[in-house]
Order: sequence, then C-alpha cells, then structure tokens
Amino acid sequence: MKSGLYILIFTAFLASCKPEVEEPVYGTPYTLVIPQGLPNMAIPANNPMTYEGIALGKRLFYDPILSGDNTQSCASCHLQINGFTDPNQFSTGIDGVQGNRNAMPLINLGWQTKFFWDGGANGLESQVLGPITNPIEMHEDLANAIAELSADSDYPSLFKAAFGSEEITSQSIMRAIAQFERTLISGNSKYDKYIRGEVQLTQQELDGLNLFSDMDKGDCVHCHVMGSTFSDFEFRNTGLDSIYTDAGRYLITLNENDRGKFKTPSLRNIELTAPYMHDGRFQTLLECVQHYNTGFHYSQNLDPNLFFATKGRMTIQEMEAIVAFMKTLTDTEFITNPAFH
Amino acid sequence: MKRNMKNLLFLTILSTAVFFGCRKDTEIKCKNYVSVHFNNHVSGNDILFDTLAYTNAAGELFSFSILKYYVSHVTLVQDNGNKVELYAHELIDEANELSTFLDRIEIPEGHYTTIEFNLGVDSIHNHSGDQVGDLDPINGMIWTWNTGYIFYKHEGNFISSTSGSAQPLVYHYGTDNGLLSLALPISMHAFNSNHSIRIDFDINKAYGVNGVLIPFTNNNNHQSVSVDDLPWINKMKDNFGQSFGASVFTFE
Repeated sequence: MKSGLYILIFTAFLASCKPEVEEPVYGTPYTLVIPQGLPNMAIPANNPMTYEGIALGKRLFYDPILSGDNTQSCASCHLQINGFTDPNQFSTGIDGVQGNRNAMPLINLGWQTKFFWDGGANGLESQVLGPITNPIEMHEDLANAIAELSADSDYPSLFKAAFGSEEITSQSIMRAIAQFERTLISGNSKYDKYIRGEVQLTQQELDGLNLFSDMDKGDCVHCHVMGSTFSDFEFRNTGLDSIYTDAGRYLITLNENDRGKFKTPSLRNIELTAPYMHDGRFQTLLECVQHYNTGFHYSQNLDPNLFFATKGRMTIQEMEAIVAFMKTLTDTEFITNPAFH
Repeated sequence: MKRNMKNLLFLTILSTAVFFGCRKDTEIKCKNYVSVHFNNHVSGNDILFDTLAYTNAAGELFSFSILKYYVSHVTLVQDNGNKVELYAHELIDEANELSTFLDRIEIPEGHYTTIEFNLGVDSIHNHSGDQVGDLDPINGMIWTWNTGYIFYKHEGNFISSTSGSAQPLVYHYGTDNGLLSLALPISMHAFNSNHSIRIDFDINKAYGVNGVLIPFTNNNNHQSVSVDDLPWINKMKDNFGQSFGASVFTFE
C-alpha cells in the first residue's frame, strides 16, 4: 500500500518534470468577446486565436481556390445572410451532384465538440477536411489545394504571419479556418436584449417563451437548452420517420440505438436557416412545431421526451406563439457583421 | 531495377553503419544503432504496380495501384523487459521506397528479444485530422466524414477465377477495432554494434494463405466503416497477425 503511494508520488514527480512542449505562437493574440449569457469558449491549446489566423481563415473560407475546379468556396453553401447555411434543401457540389442532408448553419461552433449532422468529425479543425475533399462537395485534393495556395502571390506570407512559416500544410489550412469559424458568434438577438433588460418582448413572444419551456406544451428545452446555445448538441431521434431512411449517428458509432439520430441544432437565427431538419424537409418553423405536436412517428429509437409527449397537446395559437418566440432568436447584427464577410 | 535500388539503399545503410561503428579499444564511448525496413512482398515476389502478376490463395489474379499502411509505436524489448520505442507513427508507402526504410536510431546496449508494433494508428491519434508528418491528411489515409485513419490501403484490380475481366479492388482497413498489436521474436545483441531489422510483410497472407481465406470475388470493396465490414475486419485482423516476420542483420 505504502509502496503504491510512493510509486504514485514518483509518477506525479515524473509527470511534473516532463517538459511541456509549447508550440510557438505567431501573430497577434486575439481575445474573443463572449456575449453576456453565453458560456466561456474553450479554445484548443494547440490552435490559439490570432488576428492573422482569423483573417487568413476568413480569406480561405471565401476563396474558391479550395475546390477542385476553383468555382466554390465554403461560403457558396454557408451564406451569412442565411446564418451561414444554404437556403436550398440540398447543396450542389462542383460536379453538379447533390448531397442528402441540409447544410448545417455555422453559428456558435466553438461550443460544439462534434460536427456534421451525425457527429462524424470530432473537432472543428478536422471538420474542415470533410467538405473540401468530399467528391460531392468541393471535391478538392489536399495536395492540389496546397500547391495552388503555395503558388499564390499572397498566401505564403499570410500563412507565415499566422503560423510562422510560408510552408502551407493541411494543418495550417484547418487551423486557420477553424479560428475564423470560432469568431462566428451570435448573442445579440432580441431575446438576448430582452434578457439584458434592453427591450420588451410582445405578449405573443412571452407566451411562446413560456410554452417553449412548459413540459406539458412545447417541451423544447430538453434538447434546445434555454438561454445560451439553445442546443444540448446531443444526438436524438425526433420521430421524423418510423423507418429510417438515413441512419444518421449510427453510421459513425455502428450502435443500433443510434439509428436515425441526428445532432440537435441550435435555434439561434433559426428564422434564417430554412429549410429545416437534417434533410431540409420542412419549409417553415410552424411545420417544425407541428411535427413535434402531432407529426412525430413512433419507433424504437424515438427520443424518450417525445415518446412520453402527448400528441396534439398544443393549439394552433400556442404553436404560433412558440414560432414568434423562436423568431426573437434572430440576430441581425450577426448576419450583417462585416467582420464575417 | 527495383531490386538494385533496394540493394543500393541497403548498402548505403551498411556503409553508414560501418562508418559510424566504433572500436572497442578506443576511449570513445561506443554507441549502438538500429534501423527498421519494411519489406512488402507477395509470397516472396517483389511488388510491381499496375500489373496483374499476383495470385491470391483463392486463385484470383490481382494487382496493386496503391499499397500503403501505418505502423505505430515500433518498440524493441530487451530480455530484462526494458522497452525502447523507435518510431511513433510511420506511413509505409510501397510507391515511395524511402518510406519503407525508417530512420537509424541510437539504442542502449543489451540483448533484444522482441520487436513490437501496431498495424494502424493508435486510438489517441486516430480521430483528428489536425496532425502533421506521416499523419497529415494529405497522405490520403483518412476518412474525413467519420474522422479516422485508413490503416491499410490496397487498391488495384483483380480477375475472378470464374470470369475473365479485370474488376477494381478496394481494401481500406481501419477503425479502433482494427488496430492490431504485433510482437515478433528477434535475437539482437546490441553492443558497439549497428543493426538493421527487416520486417517482411506477405500481402498474400493477409488475404488468407495459411489463414482465413478472403477471396476478392463478390468481396472487392471494403471501407471498414459499416457494420457489414465488421466480419471482414476481424478476419483480416487475424490474417495480418500471421503476415509479418522479422530478421536481424548485424554489422560491427
């Protein structure tokens, strides 16, 4: 017992003596301004934010150089005016091929840990690789992208300013875009102003707010957590189908209980990000609320919160009030912020 | 030509070893070095790309257009149990001969009885593309929609024993479940000496010579990431376990 303790102490000593490998930090440190009401954002230690990194990431985000035929950029399917999503049900890649899921909005990504509708990417940096290399999206070969960026008159010096070397790597591309994406913070909606005591909500919006949280009515808050991110970022089956056409989270985990589950999206700017659901099947917010009121289908993996919910528990007026509340989450400053375009 | 290249590389390593070798009667502190070479072959035949020159255990002709795989934590074990890790993650690419010769490393003196390594990328590194060097996603060894490395990639063509036309062959092996630890016996006395360890990898054994037969017919596209692939991954893992052998070459 005692010797075990010594080993522990010794191990702790060894661990504390191990030299920490600090990656050199280049550029000018950038401190994110987190709006009141949102939690602190954990920035990966190996990718600290800098003005230069963010500016480079923004330029890459908007540059079609990252697609196979230099016709599409990230922004082609993630439009700021639409909360950085695609107003089309399915996006069309450079080869004219459509996917089978609706583009995800890019809002408050720094609080999320898993990306894509099925959570297949474990970090914002790794996520960047997906759309760039996917044959039905930007269909670019990484080596080709790096060759083009390296031959460009501006990029080598921009990479040097951000990461200390003119040598462009897939890692520095991923890290720059992730830095820019972490700045895409929305926290100044009418709802946020209401919470800060700056504006009043209408009676209908207030009714909606209460119904949104009411366990016997909207019961939205279990997943669309009230007050900050408006998502728990878990994977849930919302009863869209009784026979799953898209296996969702199952494709990643191979766990039968994950069939037909998709990531809970944030409701911030939800008014701007139509169409809705992973497959963009609903055009309006009212259709979405109706789905949760009467439309959901029972199946083995249906979320328990819905399984126990009573169908038809809300009137049309109540559903309309919830929609009115959701529209208070629209942040017009976010979609017009010049720092983002 | 390819054989000559291999010999040339081997000679270079040998002469470097002799050059750095030390004499026991000098006061200079002597050192021991080892390097590791992964020698890929098909039942003893060298690998040439894009030629249907190989026959698997199921009697099907097949070829290679790509043959790449990851090895990780290549470690030597001494008879007293001490371990020396030589390399963390290495991408072996048959199309790039230099990648099959790993760097020369200084090791403590002693008697080494085992060389251990994983076929694949360890689970700590397997789920992020934000990495450099041999794990850089530019190497085309990563699934980007479900972040994880392809541990073993063989692409080419094959001709089924029952039909005469060539069809594509795609074997992408990976997932944490597919990570295989190997331990191969060696006998290596490191004392003022230089060593090269050759790891022979017989691709045909991976497809079932002496193991579980994995015919290509009706079975020619594997991505490792659907549940349908699990039985295949497990078979292949068993076979990989029997596909490697180690030989030690010592130079004073």
